[in-house]
Amino acid sequence: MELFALVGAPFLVAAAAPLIWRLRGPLRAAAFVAVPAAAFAWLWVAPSGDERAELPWVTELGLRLVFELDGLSRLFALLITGVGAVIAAYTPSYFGKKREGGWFAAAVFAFMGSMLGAVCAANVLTLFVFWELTSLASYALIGFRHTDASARESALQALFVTTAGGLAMLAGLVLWGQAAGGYDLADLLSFDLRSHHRYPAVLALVLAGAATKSAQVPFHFWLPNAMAAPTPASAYLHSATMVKLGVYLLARFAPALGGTEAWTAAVGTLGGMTLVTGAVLALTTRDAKRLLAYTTVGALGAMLLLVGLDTPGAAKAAAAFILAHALYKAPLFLAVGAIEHGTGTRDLGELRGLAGRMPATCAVAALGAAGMAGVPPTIGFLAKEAALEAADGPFPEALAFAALGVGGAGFAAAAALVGLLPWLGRASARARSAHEAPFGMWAGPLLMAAAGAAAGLLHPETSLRLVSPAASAIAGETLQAKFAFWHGWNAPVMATAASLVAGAALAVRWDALRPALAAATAKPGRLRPEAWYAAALAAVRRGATVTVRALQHGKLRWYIATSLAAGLALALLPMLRSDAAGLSIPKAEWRVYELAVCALIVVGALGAAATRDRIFAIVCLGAVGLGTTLVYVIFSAPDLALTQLLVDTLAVIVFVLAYYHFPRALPQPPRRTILRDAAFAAAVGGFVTLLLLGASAQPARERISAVFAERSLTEAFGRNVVNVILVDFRALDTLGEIAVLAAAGVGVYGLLKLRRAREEE
Amino acid sequence: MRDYSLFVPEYIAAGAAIAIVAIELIWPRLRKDVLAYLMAAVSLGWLAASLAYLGRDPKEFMGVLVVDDFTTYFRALAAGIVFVTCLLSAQYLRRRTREASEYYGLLLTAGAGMSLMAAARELLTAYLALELLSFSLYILVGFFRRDLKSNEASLKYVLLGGFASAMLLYGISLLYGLTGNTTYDAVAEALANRSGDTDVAAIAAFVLIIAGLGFKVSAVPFHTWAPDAYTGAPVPITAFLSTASKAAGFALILRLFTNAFHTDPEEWRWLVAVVAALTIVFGNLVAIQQTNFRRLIAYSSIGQVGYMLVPVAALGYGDGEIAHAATAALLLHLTGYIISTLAAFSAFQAAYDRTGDDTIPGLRGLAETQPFLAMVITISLFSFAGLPVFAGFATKLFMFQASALPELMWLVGIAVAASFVSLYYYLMVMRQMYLFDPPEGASRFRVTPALWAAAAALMLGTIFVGAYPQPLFDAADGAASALFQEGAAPHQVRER
Repeated sequence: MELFALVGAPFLVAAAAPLIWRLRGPLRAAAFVAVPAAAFAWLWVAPSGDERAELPWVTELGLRLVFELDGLSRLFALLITGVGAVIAAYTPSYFGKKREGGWFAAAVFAFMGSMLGAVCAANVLTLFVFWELTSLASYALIGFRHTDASARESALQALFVTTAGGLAMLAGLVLWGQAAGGYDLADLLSFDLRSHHRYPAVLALVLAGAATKSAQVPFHFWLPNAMAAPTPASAYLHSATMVKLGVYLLARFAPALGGTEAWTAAVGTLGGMTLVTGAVLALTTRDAKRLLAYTTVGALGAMLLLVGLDTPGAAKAAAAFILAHALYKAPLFLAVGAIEHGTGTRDLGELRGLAGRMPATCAVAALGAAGMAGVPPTIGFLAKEAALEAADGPFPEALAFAALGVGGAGFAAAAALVGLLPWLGRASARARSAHEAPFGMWAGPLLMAAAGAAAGLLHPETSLRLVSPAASAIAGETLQAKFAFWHGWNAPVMATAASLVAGAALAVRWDALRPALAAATAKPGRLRPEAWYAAALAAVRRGATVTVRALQHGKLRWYIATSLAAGLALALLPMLRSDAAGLSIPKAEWRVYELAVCALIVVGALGAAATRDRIFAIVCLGAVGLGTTLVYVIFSAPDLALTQLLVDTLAVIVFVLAYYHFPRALPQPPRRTILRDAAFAAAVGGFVTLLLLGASAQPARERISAVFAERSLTEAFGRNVVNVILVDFRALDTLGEIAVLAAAGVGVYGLLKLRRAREEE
Repeated sequence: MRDYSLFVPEYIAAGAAIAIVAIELIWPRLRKDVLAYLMAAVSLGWLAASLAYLGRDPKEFMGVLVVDDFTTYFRALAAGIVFVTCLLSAQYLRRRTREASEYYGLLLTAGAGMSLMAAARELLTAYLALELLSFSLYILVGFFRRDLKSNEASLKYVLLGGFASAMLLYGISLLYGLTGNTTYDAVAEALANRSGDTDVAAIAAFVLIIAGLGFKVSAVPFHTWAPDAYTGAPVPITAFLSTASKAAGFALILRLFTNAFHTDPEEWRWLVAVVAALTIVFGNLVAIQQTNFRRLIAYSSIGQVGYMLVPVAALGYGDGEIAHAATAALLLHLTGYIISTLAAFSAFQAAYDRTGDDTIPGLRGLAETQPFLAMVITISLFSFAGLPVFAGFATKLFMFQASALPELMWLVGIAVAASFVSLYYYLMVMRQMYLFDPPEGASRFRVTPALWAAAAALMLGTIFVGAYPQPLFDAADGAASALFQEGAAPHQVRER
């Protein structure tokens, strides 16, 4: 029950957010903070056993709404509620008196609920539902400044990329669930998928979902663009929580999907490439927020790399890094938001000597940067050490080790650029007019950054409560994570030291290096994944235009032709394949008058097609009709013949009446049109002929009149067969006829009334 | 046996159809919206009468019609659709015509046609029921005699419809030639005992029948009438076309394919799969280009039909159990789709009554002038796109899951990818409503209570079906079971 409350409460706050926004001052912030803070407290103290809550959804299909709280879920839920509480306190100050803040808060809380639902879901379909809800919330938040066209474009881009990935993931999970016979996590994880033939497909599809959500190469482009969102949203969704869902997904499934060469190769390569890409690209931009976004991309790559590694320490390092990253990256984002608030810019080139003007924000940034660079005693340091230790080995671990080293240097440089340089030196023009951010905008971030620094010191407690249970879930076995600040002079320590030095050097020479780095990484258009996205979008639009022009132009003639041609093609295809069994040309003796009737029909049809005179064409059609009538006469069907004659006569009269107003001569179409129409007519005619031959090969059937005559007395007790048919066998038809009569009566009454009305006028 | 009490709901519909014309003639001064509400009340009676048959033993009428839970399901749907359409029409028609009784009368006969299509167990009866629906619709589409667009729409619809009818009849007569009978049971038996390899006439019969029915549900490439008819018809009729006409088509298809054709699936299943793929791709692709809301809905509904043909193809590839699940899932999705569509049209109708503009930019700034309507449209479109917690997600999930046979994986893949594309054009509509300011001079406006209530109820329905599909699933499953009871479908396939 508590789990339903945990997931449901943020949604309730979201619904009430616009109202809460009307409260004044601290009351407003307090109202927003209350729910996430309470949830955080509950998660912190809740008994360590696995919680479970369940609600039936569609029982026949085995679908239920199931939530579970194990170590991994708890770690994520604590991050979501903890960071969420800080964001909730930050938002009122960020938006000030603007009314739109209420809607922003509503979206943030809806996101919080969806995110909690996603990480607590114990059924993969439930997981998918919440997964997509987070995408929707992200769409709303990125496009929040909707008057800005580029924000709208970025919002759409993020939504498309993540939703496409989400659908791929759903496909993978359904394939897996079908094989496992259930959609609960327990069903999936206990099923031996690795030896199943669907394993490669499931792995690829799930990986696609994770890679898009967690902004892995080549889908990484959406994340920096998503920085169009207001800063609290960037800090919350696009660094601390939502983008980690992909990591969560892989960590969750690692016990069942992992441990194979394909897994290590795919997840490791993806993560390693993303790590290096993010770390390098971070140094190419002067926009502090974009820079942080790229380091987030890199960090997500590192997490994937660790999940993919098949070494004993990897799970521990992954769990520690997930925690560390949230604790340092969210404060950094929020500090950048405060800087922008205080100076009006986030261009790193214009920011120098801010420490005196914004001391509190400076402290936040410095602490966060220490964590990002991995300086002891922060938990960032412990996580980085653990990661390097896990990757300390021969190939393929050596590659991961190298990637982590390069990434570490990049992160250290980025940390210096955001955490040191803007605060030191002589105050720049912008800095001189700067002012400190309000309390709500630095208190929470400072708390979080300090926790990140202290978590390293409080090692046994942190490890016991947060890291070990999560690592156990990732590894699929109970682990006791231990960290130490000093291991002696081993490779990880050296690598850490080297990356710190390299980072510092990079930061110092950055002004000179940045343009060169930007030029080196600027790829020609065709190689940029973002260009692929644009091309795909354009291709879909172009395809739509072409199809509309070709097929939906409003010309009736062509509509009929399309339907006919399609029907023909569909029917002819299998006939061509088969040996056309069932076809037989009836061998009958032809009489002279039969041949004459045939000739009449053929000549009439050809004449109607060939002439350019409308009236003559109608006459020719009349001849065809007459010929058909004669066929009925020859095969002794006088009733049919009579009907055909009547209808045909009427048709000719109507045609003549209608064509009376048209010019007599038909326009002469171009030769190409004639040929095309002739081919079309020949195809249809040939098809019908084939059909008739096929059908006439079937034996004839008994007649129904005998049945009526036979049953008339026994079943309906009537000797007059016609009467019995009318009032008994086909009584419903008679009822219908009576209804028609009634309708006609009403019609006559209407006509009479109309006349009377006219006379009165 | 000949039990005439089986058709009380149809008697109500047909009787009311004639009566309302008489009523208008006798009291010409009666307000036209009163007529609408009167007919809405009649459809509620019709609904009640239909539900009275629920859960009873299936009863046949001379082997040509049957009243079972499947029939009841579609009767209830028909009554519900007519009810909502009457509410949509009330104000719209009152402002535009002086004679409205034929309009409402024809709505009722169309609904009766739909019920009979679900009940038919004989080819010609099914054909007649289909024509009853079609003829009513031909007139309804062109109801505004002085409106050129309405005329053009009706003309195209009639001509192409007549063409499709001819194909269907030709197919039926070929099938009769092959099997010597027209009742579904006898056709099934004859197909099962047919000797010989692939038969030209059999394939031609299936192709022609599928083409004729494909026209009715507007499956590609027999869909060409739909966009023009949707745009030219009176707005409530567009709603009716996109719900009743499709539901009726699928009612007929389901009974026909599970009762008559299931014994010889090899000849038609690939055909349905191909048509489904074409329909899904074409409908969703072309929808992207549209600037008119009704045309957009027309194409998006073509795409939806494509999704619904996937389980029909699954009928041919799976065994009896899979066929049962696919049928239930199709019924569920169809119902969810109808509820979402009617919700979208209720809101759109209310906006249209105010602006008289049916283009997508015409919805500009609706979130400010009428936030409630904007929300209803948004939720319906999200439901079409299959986003979670709305009807479309749950129902589509069940449907694709039930159809995910190894032979159809490619088709399900296409369908899932296409639903993703569809999100793009639905977002274009939402963008106009939420991101742009309303046109100069537009102010907040109120919605008539009847429309407001309809839109609100249908929106809640969309959310309810998505969040808790169990009750509707039970109903759909019950209806599907009627098709698979003993005698109805002993899934014995023709031997080669």
